Amino acid sequence: MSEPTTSPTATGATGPGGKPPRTRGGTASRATPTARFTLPLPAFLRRHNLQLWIGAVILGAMVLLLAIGPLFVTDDPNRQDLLNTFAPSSIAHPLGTDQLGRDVLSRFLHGGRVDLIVAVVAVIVPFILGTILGSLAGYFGRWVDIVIMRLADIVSAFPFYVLVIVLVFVMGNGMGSIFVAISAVSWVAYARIVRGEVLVLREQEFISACRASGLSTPRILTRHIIPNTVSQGVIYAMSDIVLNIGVVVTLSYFGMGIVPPTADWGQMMNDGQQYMGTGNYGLILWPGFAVVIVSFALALIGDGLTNTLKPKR
Amino acid sequence: MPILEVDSLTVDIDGEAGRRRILDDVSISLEAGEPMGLVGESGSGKSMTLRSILGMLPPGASVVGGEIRFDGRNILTSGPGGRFDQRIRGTGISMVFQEPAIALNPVMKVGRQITDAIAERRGLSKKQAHDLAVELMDSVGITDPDRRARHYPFQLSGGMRQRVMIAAALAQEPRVLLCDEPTTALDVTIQAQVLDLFRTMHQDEGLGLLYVTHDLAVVAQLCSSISVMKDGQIVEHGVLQEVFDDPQEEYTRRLLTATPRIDEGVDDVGLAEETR
Amino acid sequence: MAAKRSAASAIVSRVFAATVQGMPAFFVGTLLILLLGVNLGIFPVGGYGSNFGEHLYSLVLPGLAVALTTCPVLIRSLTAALNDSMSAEYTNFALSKGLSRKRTVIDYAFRNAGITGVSILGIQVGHLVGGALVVENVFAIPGVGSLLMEAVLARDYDVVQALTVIFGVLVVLVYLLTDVVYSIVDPRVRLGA
Repeated sequence: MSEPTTSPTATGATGPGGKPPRTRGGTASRATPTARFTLPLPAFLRRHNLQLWIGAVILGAMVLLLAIGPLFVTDDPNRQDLLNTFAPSSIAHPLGTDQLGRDVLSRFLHGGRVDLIVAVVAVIVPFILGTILGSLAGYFGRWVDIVIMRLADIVSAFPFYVLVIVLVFVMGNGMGSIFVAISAVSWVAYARIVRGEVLVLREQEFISACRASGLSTPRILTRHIIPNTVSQGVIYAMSDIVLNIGVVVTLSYFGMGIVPPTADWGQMMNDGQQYMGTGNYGLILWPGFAVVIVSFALALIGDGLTNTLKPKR
Repeated sequence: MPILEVDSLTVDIDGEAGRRRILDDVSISLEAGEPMGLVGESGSGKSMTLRSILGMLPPGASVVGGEIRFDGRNILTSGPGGRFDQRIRGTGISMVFQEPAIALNPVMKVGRQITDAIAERRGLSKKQAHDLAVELMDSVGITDPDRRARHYPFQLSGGMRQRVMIAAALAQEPRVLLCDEPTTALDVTIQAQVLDLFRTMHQDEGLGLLYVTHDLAVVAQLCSSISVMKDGQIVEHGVLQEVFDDPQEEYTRRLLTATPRIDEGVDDVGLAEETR
Repeated sequence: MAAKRSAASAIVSRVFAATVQGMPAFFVGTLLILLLGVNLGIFPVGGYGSNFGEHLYSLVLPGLAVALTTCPVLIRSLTAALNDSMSAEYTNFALSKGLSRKRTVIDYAFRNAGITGVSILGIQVGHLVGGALVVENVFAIPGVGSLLMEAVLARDYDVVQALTVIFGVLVVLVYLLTDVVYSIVDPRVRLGA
């Protein structure tokens, strides 16, 4: 489309969302119409992508807190003090202590590390596995497609949580089982996404051109097909991390995940619920809201990435 | 007096790159019963002109100047609260869209789509609406209209769907019909049939046509006057034969010579360069 | 003006969805217990009661918890579907005929977005069941979900195996039901487009 170019009467740029920017003190801004954007913001921040940055800042702050927090909070998260259980907030224990007299803040920081690391690492294998299987199914079609996608159908015939719980049950508790269980289930989503992308890509001119110029199939797949599907996978990975945090925390809440006494948010929340009668809600609320904040940040990042990475067709 | 006058219409749109002018001082004057062609390349603002006339600009676009008068009344401000007068849609001005495949609701029977607007306005019963739809379908040349009215769009052919859309646009007997490249999506033979239909409609009913296209052959067959658009402006307007024989603007000349003619062969002029 | 209003409501619904999306089902359940059960004392904090009325009453909070955890995905997908159908050409054509905005939204935009909604609802049933499983345990409701967790903790292989199959069959049945409903609401499927 070759729409007419900007006419000289169309003054200045507009703010995000296409609305004219709100200005205070009309005369000043009228004198220098471009002065509104003298802030050294990168160009893409102006263009609708506030969400990405807000999300990144929130997530960054959280990660920073969990990363360097334990340097300042030197209490051993597992040191019990049975004479000092359910202590209220104090200088020694800013968030108080739990039912065994352990420092809640320290457990919160260490637990968060474990949960987030597991959730993020558990995205990697499904991402790779799903991308490979999805592109194979999409590119080769026929029986390869049938075998892989029927396998995917079988996995998705079971509710996500049921399958993960049963797999962990079979393999025994612990981080290793969680990784395997999540990988075995969540590759399906990546495979579906990538397969869809590949089906579209395969028909495009530049792939035919590759084939015509004699490129080998593995080379076409690794150099031309898969790189073009990665952005969609990355966008989905953001919500997949959220899903994984939920799984890890939920499994631990049920006593099937991170093995005690290693601190983690799910275990803390379970403790909190058991002793809810004491009126001590911090154990539930601190980790709970932390999960919500991290997920919220990831959701914003996902949206922001969708806006920047989605190919404009 | 002209039935439809677009007077110095100027429209801006807010996009990612800032504010742009998409229609610049556009004026069109259409007499009752006059068939006018509006030609120009893609993106010249033809469709946007039609959408402004119906008050259906896309989000972000707004009229910043000018008037649109229907029967002497500025419809941009004559509606309730000084806004666009939506009552004009269907009864005064209707529009036939480019692609019947996507302009009809895929999950509603075509009979109902033809008469739902008039049925709502006049409080017609289901039976009355159906009968009217059958009558209208018959008048646009759909055979077996009683059965076809109960079909969904996907059960009809492309030409049939375009006839349905024309029937729907004419249901409330408007005085002006806006056509946004209504035959582009059709086969050549079907195109001819639909064009015939437009010709009869305009001759028998005295319907004013504002016919947007980039196909000058269609304009030559159907219209009595022509306006040429480029970059959001009307660059030339006049009686069809005069403009065809003696174009005043360089752009119109190139547009005319860019159309291949059987007697002259393909004339290679720099229109393609111009559009870059 | 309408655009600004819809932009504001879009942000509100997006923030809500993004907030709730990250909440594990058991956390939502616990929050509801704290808020409506313990603090306000309107609903029981757990258990299942002994007669039908009590059953229903004690299912209110768990139901709410499951609904809250399932709705973010639905909100997002339905918003997207509605955005598509609102800007679709058939909606424009309906308006150009002079159909009122209300009728256009109901007969054109909602109707088409609703069809998309049915299929999304079907796909979501897996998550719905997962949420129910977790929430049942939080509220100590004697359902299949609690049974599964009990069997898991007791390492009762047979029960776990049987329940897994039952869950699978349930989900497949819902998929089937979705297909049936889909073919009823979408003439293109019913009549074979």
